[in-house]
Amino acid sequence: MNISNQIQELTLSFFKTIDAEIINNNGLYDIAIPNKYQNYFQKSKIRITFNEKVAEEHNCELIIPGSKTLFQIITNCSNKGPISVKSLPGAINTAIQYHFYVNFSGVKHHSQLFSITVDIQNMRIIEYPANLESIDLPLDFKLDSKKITPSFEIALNELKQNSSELKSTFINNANIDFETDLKLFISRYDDEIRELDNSITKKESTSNDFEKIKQYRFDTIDEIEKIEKEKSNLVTILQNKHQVNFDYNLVACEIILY
Amino acid sequence: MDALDEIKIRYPDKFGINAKLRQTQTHNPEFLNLTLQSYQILSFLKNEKLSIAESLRTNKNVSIFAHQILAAQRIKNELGGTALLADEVGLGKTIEACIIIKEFLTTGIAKKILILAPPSLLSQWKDELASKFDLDFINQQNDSRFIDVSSHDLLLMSHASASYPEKSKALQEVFWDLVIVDEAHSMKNSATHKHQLVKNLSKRHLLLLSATPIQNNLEELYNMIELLHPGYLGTWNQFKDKYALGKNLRSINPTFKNKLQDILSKLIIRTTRKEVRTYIKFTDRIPHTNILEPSEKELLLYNAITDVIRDLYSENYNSLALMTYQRLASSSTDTSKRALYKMKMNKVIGPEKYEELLSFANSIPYDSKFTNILKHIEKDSSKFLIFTEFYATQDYIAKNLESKGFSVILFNGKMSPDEKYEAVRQFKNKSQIMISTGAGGEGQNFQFCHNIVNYDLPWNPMKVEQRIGRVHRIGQTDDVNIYNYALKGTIEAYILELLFTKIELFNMTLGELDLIFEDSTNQGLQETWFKEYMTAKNDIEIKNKFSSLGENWKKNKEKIHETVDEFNDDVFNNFDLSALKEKK
Repeated sequence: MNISNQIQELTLSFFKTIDAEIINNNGLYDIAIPNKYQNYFQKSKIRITFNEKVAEEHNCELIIPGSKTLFQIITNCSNKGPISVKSLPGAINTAIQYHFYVNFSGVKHHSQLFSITVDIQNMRIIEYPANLESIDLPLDFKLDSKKITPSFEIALNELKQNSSELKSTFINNANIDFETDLKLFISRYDDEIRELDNSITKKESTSNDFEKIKQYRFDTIDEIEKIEKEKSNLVTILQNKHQVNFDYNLVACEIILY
Repeated sequence: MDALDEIKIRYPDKFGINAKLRQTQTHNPEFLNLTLQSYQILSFLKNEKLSIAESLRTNKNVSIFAHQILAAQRIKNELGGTALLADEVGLGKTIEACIIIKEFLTTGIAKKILILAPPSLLSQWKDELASKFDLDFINQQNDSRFIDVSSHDLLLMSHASASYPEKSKALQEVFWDLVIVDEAHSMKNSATHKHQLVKNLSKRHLLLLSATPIQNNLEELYNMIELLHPGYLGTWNQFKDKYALGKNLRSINPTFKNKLQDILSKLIIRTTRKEVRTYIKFTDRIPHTNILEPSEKELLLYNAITDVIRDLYSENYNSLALMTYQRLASSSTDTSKRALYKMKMNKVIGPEKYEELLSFANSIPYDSKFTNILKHIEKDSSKFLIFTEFYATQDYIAKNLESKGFSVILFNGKMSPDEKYEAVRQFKNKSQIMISTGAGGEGQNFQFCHNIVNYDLPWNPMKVEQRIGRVHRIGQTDDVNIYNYALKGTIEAYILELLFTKIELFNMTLGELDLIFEDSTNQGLQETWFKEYMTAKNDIEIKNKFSSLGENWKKNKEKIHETVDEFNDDVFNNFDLSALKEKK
């Protein structure tokens, strides 16, 4: 599915889920926001479209990357940390599917969703069972709390393995970028230092005034030290700029009865 | 070659999912799907380039840097087009906002856009939008096409004009797709008209621009965020109790630092000069202040005119007209002649006195200022940008420099946009010297030149900074020499000394000046200076009066520096809000 379709689906599903009244008039959507969400959206009615021409014609909000309503929906949905339950008829086993949002950031960026399912009886990674249906949690159901932490750790280890290739590639690329920057910016300082070094030799070979040569040497060495210090500062700045962060955020969970 | 030595790995469970599992707390399954879809879209958006990325890359009218594109990208894709853009000074916040405007117009996210800025920056905005992004905004202040606020899709207004009840009401009746507030720290106090104006505007997206969004305490940060996302931080008391520490409300409670980082990273972008040092060279300003001994004739002429003005001032004559005479008398011999002519026409001097003083002025071969500048230009073949407030002085300098064989080009407010464009081109490629009037200097960029001459002084610190800002900005590769001129004993000499020695104006930025002089109107400032000069009985008294004015501003400046620095150390520097990389 392309991104425009994904955005449209998320937007409309969101409004349906919160029980908003939606009227679609040839791609022009009039949405009556339920009371509970009016404060969040700061209004009771929203007129939106996913079509540029309709937006132009009706002067309404076009839902595309950058639109405010889309941002509000994403912010709302991504801040919930929801847990839902799915089941097969006559289920005897329990598993937890952990959803991680992996965020690799540095000068470049990569993010991806990973989902890992762990059977909490035998603490094994399993395939996500087919044909599951959403249910309300049975009243007599109890999740053994002692098994939550170990199953989470198994999921994390699996996540690390699943993402290790991606991680190595990201680190390699970050290192290449860092080295390129380093070469580019540091060579200027090395050239300057070399030139100053050479100028001392030149001064020594062209002047007979020992005092002047001595003074020149001191001054130039001071200058070189200054450049060396600046160079080392720059390396630190570059290291900070290129520093790589890996965040493995747990963003949602499913309890699976199968 | 070195490799990166630090890689940070975190496994956050910021929604407390493990704890929810223990309590078997479940949600509507629909929400799980929506959450996962949201993260899928977020993954896409984080890597999504601006739709105008290619046209920005090939835009020859402006140099755009990585942090500017990334900031605009984050504002659009991750912050929903509503944010506080708090880059440190000199990193091009205006350009970042212009990129957002262009992107929003191109993609259809916005059609009606309002920019609110201090009056002194409106021309600069207008020019940057037009010359660099081909966007024609109507400047409400001085555009003859302006009808009313609802008639224009792209409108520029000053904070002050927009806050007038009538204008404010009219602005609130329009729905704005995007509102941009420059120097937004002036909205920090929620009780002010300005804050209320922005709060009550009907708008979809809001961008607040300020290098110094907080000067006193966390409440200012809260007030700014309230403008962006009302209710997002709860009530002030809830916010204060959770995040603030200490009576002065300047420190963050460490327990909730990560939580606040998370919140601020969705609202604020702040890139620092340190982060961009690898690709932007920041140069220094080197002021050369020349308070010259006037020639005997110059002194006599100036004193003769000033005596007349002083007498009229004591008789409560129109002070605006008197200030004009005084400024003319201080600029050059040719403007002194102009002052005499105006005084004769207004019958404040008789024809005999006029003739006497005119023949005196005519006997001055060269101004002392001109002779001194000539020495610098003769020694240095690089380009010089000479500023004056008056056409007569502009012509005087041009005529005399040309007679000495220098290539000179003029730039002023009378010229058409095409003529201005041609003049800038000529200065860049051919002429060594440009002579510009104050009006002509606004909005133009002359980074290829690193010598500025203030032949006379605008009695407005913001204008002085704007002159320097034409040259000392991103893209300047040399330290900038600022030659300031005044004749000893003139009002300009006292102002220059005040601005230079007391408040070190030439090392300050527009944002800082805005803070120091935010309570003084332009007219008020000029009238204060003029009054002190006119009412003093002798030189010592003038000196004392100006010195006392300077002390007040100096204290104000130090206080502002101290609180801003302290706050930045305590708050902003604790967080990573940069556009260049993202930490959570």
